[in-house]
Parts: sequence; structure tokens; C-alpha cells
Amino acid sequence: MDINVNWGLLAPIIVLQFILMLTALVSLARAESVTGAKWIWALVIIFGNIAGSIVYFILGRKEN
Amino acid sequence: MRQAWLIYRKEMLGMARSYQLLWVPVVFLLLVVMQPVTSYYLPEILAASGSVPEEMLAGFPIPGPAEVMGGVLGQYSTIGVMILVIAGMQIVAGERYGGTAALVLVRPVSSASFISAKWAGQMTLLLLSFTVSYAAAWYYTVLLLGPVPWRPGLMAGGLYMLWLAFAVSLTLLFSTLLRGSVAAVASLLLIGGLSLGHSLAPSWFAWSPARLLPLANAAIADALAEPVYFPAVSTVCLCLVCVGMAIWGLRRQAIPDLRGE
Amino acid sequence: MSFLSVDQLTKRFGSGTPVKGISFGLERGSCTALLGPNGAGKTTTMRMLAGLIAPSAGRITVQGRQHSSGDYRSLIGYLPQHPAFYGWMTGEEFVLYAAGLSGMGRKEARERTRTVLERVGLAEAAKRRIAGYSGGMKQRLGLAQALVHQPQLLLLDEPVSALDPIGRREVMNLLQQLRTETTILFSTHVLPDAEEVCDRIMMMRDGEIVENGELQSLADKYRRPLLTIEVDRQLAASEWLESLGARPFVQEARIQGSIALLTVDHIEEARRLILDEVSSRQIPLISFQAGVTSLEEMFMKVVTA
Repeated sequence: MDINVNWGLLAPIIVLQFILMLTALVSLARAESVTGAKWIWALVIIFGNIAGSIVYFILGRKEN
Repeated sequence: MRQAWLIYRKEMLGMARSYQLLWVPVVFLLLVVMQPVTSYYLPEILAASGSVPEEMLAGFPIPGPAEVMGGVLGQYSTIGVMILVIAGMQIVAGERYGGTAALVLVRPVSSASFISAKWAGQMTLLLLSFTVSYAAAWYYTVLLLGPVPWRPGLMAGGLYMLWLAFAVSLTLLFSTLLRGSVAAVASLLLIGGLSLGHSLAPSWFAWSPARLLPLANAAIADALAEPVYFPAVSTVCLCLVCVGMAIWGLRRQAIPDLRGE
Repeated sequence: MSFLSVDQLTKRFGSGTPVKGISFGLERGSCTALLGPNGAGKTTTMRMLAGLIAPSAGRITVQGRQHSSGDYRSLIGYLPQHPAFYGWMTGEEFVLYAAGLSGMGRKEARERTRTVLERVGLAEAAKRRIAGYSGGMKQRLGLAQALVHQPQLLLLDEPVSALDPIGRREVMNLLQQLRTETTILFSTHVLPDAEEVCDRIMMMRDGEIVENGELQSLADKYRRPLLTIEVDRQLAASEWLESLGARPFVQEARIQGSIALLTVDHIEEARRLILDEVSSRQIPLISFQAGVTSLEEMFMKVVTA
């Protein structure tokens, strides 16, 4: 089951994914209002991987 | 001119505060970098899963760098276009229907400076997202799968960026004329229609921006058989036409007052 | 010559004509209320004056120059009925942005921004995001952005209609101060607001100006002797009250239950005749008041006529 993975190469990608998720969560926490409940969005962002964050940024945020 | 610069700076500040300046480039990067990474690790992942017979795996080809870069470009033309269109659909419509345009356009601001500042803001986002992600994808492809020659790589990247610039300009135009979500649908339909039209009847659409995609794919495979000037120049012209029409559209359209009488 | 003059201004939208060829002038330094019920065409008029929508016909001249030339735009400050801001900006950033768009230099813009924010009472909240502002704060921010470039004409569209009593009071006090500094045109559907701030009133109904003049002269013009009579709630008294409307000295009668409002020609004659009847018929009178019609009644009459 062991895959020979070059972690040095993959680390930046994983860090970036983490940054994306964190940004979405910070934005969610600071938002005055979002479409729907905040805790649902938090779950979407944490378990939805990249797509979860994208969906939050596109649909969750309310302008003004 | 000064007004345009002010509006551009306000656009960039808004994009930064809404984290758009961060998430769009990061999403682009993650999307395209996955291409070389998964191509490289695919045989190992398949082997580890144990669902593929050993002898089949032995002959499983790891794709070459040019092929993988082709896959990278494919990501831009699908999800990349979609993200850019959706990120830009409210660019003018949001201000017109949200009411902020009334406070801006009541001041001595020409619609030309308003639109061109908006366009410059979107272009900055595109330039940043594309350059960073394309460079990262290229870097990973070289590390994992082998060299990608400079000229074809740059050529293909340039042609794709031109195509994306067209998508952004078109979205700006529709966002000026229509409501946000309608603008996004209209832009995506027109862009999809152009691509489809080109694949069905290439000779009819040889002038069109959609021609840039097969040209870029040929360029990255080092099999470019025709000059790219014609569709490239026509795309630049179409971008300018979109911006011009948006300026004209904003000028002749009233600023709606949805909640008033 | 008027600072702003409007000639046969008309706006047609598809099926309707919200503004039907209105003409008026605004003197420099005057404060005029554009008064009328909802749907009278006030907002459409304001938006044409602000240059946000083009008139279908007619002319607007500012200081003798054609409105359509565009240079008038640095002369006006406009507060829309529902001002909207970028929620992610701070109040200070927005006013600075507005000042910059009006062509002010950086240093001047900074100073003016501080002055107007202090003036509207937002100095404390200047560095907070607008998304967290209350309705009253947004309205005051709207006023700040309309004032920052020291406009010669302030166009305020229903500036207090959406506010609670406290917010309304704050904005009205600000308008009281401002009226001495610049020319103001402010629209409202509430007469007391107009009376409180302005010296001139223009009344609109169905896209037309039906009355235009000094507040005082309008009040004089519409002033009539008015009798208010209240009686006990009983049949005979009510019948008598109803019958008053038909008397020759009564111009106009409004009977509401046991109260009658009578507009009359000669107050002395009417008073004598009615009180005579009250005593001879033994009417159970509760109150009898002689006064004059208010502007409010005139307003009701004009807008419902």
C-alpha cells in the first residue's frame, strides 16, 4: 500500500489547499450575513475540499 | 483619467477585501497543478488500489509533458472560464442594480473611465491568476515529467490568456447590459456556442476567438501548422469592441431605481 | 436669473408618463420642498436633475448653461432615496472616494472628508465598515458624501422617510443648518418635514406641479375660517350635525362621527348662527372651536383633488 511520494513536492499544494480553506472560513466568520446558515457553510468549506470553498465564495457571500 | 485610476484602485481594494484576489488565483493554481501531479502518480495510485491487474499496469504509459500541458490548458477552457465569468458577472450589474452606481455616476465620471477601470481590474485578476497558475503547472510538469520547451509553452499560454481575456471582456459587456446572473448565463452560452460552432464547422469560425484553443493545443504539441495572427488580432479587436459597447451601453442606459417609484 | 431652471421637463417610460412637462426655477440659496404623494413623479424629477436619467423632452439649465453638457455635475450633491454603499469600505474611505471622483485633490479631499464626517456625527464610526452601519448612519453617510465637494445645489430625495424618529430628528437638524449654506431641493411626502426646513413648496401630483410658491403665501392663499364642532353621541345631535353641511354659509363640510369640520365664509356670522341653534335646539355640545385651515388640509385638498 505504500506509494513512493515526494512530500517536498506535494507540500506546497497541500499548504495552498489549507490556505484556501482558511480564507473561506475567515471570510465566513467576518461576513455580516450569508445566504443560509453559517454552520452549514462551515461544513461545506471544511469537507467540500476545493469545490466547497469555491461554492462558498460564489454562492455564499452577499454583496453589501 | 484620474477618476479611472481611483475607480481601478477601489476595484482592487474591493477584490482584496472580498478575498477574490486570493481565492481565484489559488483555485486556478490548484486546478491546473493537479494535472501533472495526478498524471505522474496515477499508476502508483492504481497499483495501490489493487483494482488493476499487474500486467496492465506495467504497460501503463505515463503521459509526456506536452500531453500533460494540453490537459492543463483544458482546465482553463472549462472551469477557468466558468470561474472568471461568475467572478465578473456582477462587475457592473452589481453597481447598477445595487444602487452604488447612482452615487458614482452622479459625479463628473465618464462612462469610459468607469468601464475601462472595471475592465482593467478584471484583467489584473485574470493576469495574476493565469500567470501564477500556469507557471506553477509548468514547473510541476518539468519536475515530474520532463522538459517543456519555451516557445511552444509561452505561445500556448499566451493564446489561452487571450481567449480568457475575451471571456472576461464579454462578461463585462453583458454585466453592463443585463442583470448579474443573466449576464453570466449569456456569456457562458455565447462562449460555449463559439467553441461548439468552431468544432462543428472550423472553416466558418476560423476568424473567431474559439480558433485560439485548437491553435494553442497544436502549439504545445509543437505541431502548429498555421500562423496565429488572424484569430489573435480578431480576438483583441473583439475585446475592444466589447469594452466600447459596454461604455456606450452604460451611457445610454438609465441607472435603475428598483426600490423607488 | 435662477440658479437652476427647468422648462417643460418630461419623462416617458414605456406606458406611463411620470413627469408631464413641468417648469420651475430655483433661486440661489433657497430651500425648496418637492412635496407630493408617492408616485407623483418626485423621484423621477430628482433623478433627471441629478443627470442619472435623460429627460424625454424639455430643458434643464444650470446657471444659464445647458444641463446636458455635463460640467454641472461637480456643482450638485445628490442623496438618492435609498443610498447604497460598498459594505466592505469604511465610511471614511467612501467619502474620500466620492471626493476624489468629484475631482478634489488628495489633501483637500482628506480635510473635507474629516469635516463632513464630523458634521454628520460619524467621526467615531469613520473607520468602521459600512456593512455594520445602521439605517440612520447610512443616511448620514449619504449626506456626508453629498456635501463633501461643497456643492452649490443639494438634491435630497426623501432624506428622512426611511428613518426612525431619532434618525429623522438628526437628519432634520442637519438640514436646518445646511439651508443657510447652499441651495436645497428636497423631496418628501410629509408636509411637516417640508414646513420645518423649507421656505418654498412645490407640490406635485400625477407628474405635474400643481402648486408652487413661498410657504407663507401658500398658507395665506389656502387659509379659511374653520369651525370644529363636537357633540355628544346621540341621534338628534348627529342628525343636526349632518344637516350643517347644507347651510348657505358653509363652504365645505367634513363630518367624522360626532365631529364636524366646517370651512365657512364669515366666521362671526357662522359662529352666531350655529351657537343660536345649539341653544334653541338644546344640542349637547362638547366643544366648539374657531380657527383656520392648516396647510395640511390644503395639502390633502391639492393632492386628492
